[in-house]
Amino acid sequence: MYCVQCGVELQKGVSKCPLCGLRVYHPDLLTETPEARPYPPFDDSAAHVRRGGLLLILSFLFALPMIVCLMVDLKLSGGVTWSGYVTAGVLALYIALCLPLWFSRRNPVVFFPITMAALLGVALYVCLKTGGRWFLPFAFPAGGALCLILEAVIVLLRYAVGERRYRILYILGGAAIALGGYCMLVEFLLHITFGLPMYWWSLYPLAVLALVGLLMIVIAISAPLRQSLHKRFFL
Amino acid sequence: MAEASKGSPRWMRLDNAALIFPAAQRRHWSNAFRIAFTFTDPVDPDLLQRALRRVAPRFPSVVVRLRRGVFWHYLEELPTPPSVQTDTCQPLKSMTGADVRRCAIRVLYYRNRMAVEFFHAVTDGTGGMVFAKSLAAEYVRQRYSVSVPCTDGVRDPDEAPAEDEFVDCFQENAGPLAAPRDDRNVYRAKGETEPDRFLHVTTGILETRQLLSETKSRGVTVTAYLTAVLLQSLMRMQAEEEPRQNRRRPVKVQIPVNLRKLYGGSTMRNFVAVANIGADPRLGDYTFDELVQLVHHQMALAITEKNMRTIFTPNVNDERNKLLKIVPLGLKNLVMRMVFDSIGERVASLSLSNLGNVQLPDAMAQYVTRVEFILGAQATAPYNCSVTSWQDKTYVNIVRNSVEPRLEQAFFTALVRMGFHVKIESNDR
Repeated sequence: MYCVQCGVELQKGVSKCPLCGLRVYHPDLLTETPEARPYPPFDDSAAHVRRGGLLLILSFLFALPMIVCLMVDLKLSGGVTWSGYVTAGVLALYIALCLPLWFSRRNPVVFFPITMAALLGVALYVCLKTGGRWFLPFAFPAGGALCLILEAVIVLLRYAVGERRYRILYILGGAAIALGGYCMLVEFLLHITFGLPMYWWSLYPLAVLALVGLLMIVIAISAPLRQSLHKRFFL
Repeated sequence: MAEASKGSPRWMRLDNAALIFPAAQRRHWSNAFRIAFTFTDPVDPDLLQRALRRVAPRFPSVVVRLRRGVFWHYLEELPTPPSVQTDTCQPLKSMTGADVRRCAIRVLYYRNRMAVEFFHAVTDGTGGMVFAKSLAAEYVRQRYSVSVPCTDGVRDPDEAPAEDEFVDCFQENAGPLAAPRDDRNVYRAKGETEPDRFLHVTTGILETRQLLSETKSRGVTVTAYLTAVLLQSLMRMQAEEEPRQNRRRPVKVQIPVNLRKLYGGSTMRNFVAVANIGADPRLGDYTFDELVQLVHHQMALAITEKNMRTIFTPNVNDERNKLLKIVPLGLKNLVMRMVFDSIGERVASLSLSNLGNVQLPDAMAQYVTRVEFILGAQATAPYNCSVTSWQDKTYVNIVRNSVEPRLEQAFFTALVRMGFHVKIESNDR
């Protein structure tokens, strides 16, 4: 049997041409006995089993300090006191480090916000446990804004760069300027939440980050400047 | 040179070409190759294991494991050979660090086929073929109760290994002049990597007689002819990616040269250097005749005793550098990995390794239906190509770890258009 598109001879019984993917169909050859495959059929079950076992062990290693702390806390204090912080912290660490390993495609666009949500959850727990009133006016907007900026950077780096590597400079330049603005937001939130005086310290990181960001954008815009810098700094 | 103290296994320094391979190794990639023999009957795994047990002591530099020293890696002879394993859909499955620390070769079987996979730090294609032939010969002796003479590269399992089989011939043959490193600005095929790093192997089977009559009529070698077809296919692929001719990059194919033919010696270690043969598409379009002549003349210029010496001398000089010698292995590995990633693979688009026409003793040849040689994919580009001939068939294996079979399609359909009969096999899922 031959592929009508590539002109190469194919093994008997194959369903498609390995070169162009064209389906092989000949009504008179349906009963043709297939040739033995040159390699055994694909089987990836072993790989899956191995990773699952390892992750279960890893999960157990994370669960162990939580259980031990809870038991000691219950024994000593008769309730969940300090062990709650340990549990929340270890859980957040597990979500950040181990949760993505359970998935074959670990897309940071998905897992980064999940990690940030876990960290905010820890902050909420600490706030409620200590009777603080700083979560809604400070931690949530500060954490949320940082999450938004970094998520935008991850999305753009992953999907908007492609072959034009210099676009990274636009993204990082924009991120630097946004982080400068973020510093101002943090100072403002500290002021309204905790009553700290406005020293305008955030103007210094804003100025530096804005300068760095603008420089990156200028380099990204100017191809001759990019080439000249590459000539001097290539590795 | 192999060294051994009483009661402990023999150990060897890595040869000069092998130094880079453990450093360049990564979780999903190792530099490995495979030689396979297909017999007339299904392989008996017990007999194959017995044959391996008998042959292994004859090759103490091949049946080894990789060990870490403070400053360098070294190879250590294995007291017992590895167990033969059933083959999988995935030839040249990555040999991880843990794998090569157990054993740096694998012996596999599937239906009628026996295959040996070598970590490249152990030996090169020529050394690997000697080991595989000797193992296959011993298997045939036991399976069919025939006497197979130790000729045509088959070594006698009863004789002791000769001292010159352990020699690092690079050190003995390095010269005073080191050639500058090749240009790194070459075309590297792109492709979406398979998420699970699956290695596709596409085998094109050609009639050797037809191929030889075509190459003889042009006065070139089979390697030169196939290299020209590869260059043409790569240039077409690049033209699809980059329509502006002045922005295209030179296309180069790396041809490993068996240095034993130039400098003599019968080492079982690596003794191979590469010649980078190519064409620059920015100079204009090439006809196929032009490409064949270009490759033929470039090979004639590059593959000479004097020129090849200048190619491997820089690496030997690096190894002899006193300052580098005292750097701890971990740091050395980091540097060598960076060198490999930035220079090692970037001087050529891919490799074409031709082991040539395999010769076997007649008593054994009647039981062998096929001999194959497969080179693993590159670490940072999707393709590689290897060729070998057995009797009236030439097997061209193209491996890739990307999704789309662009090079295979361009290469084999080009051969079909030139009038060759090509049969295709693959390990597609």
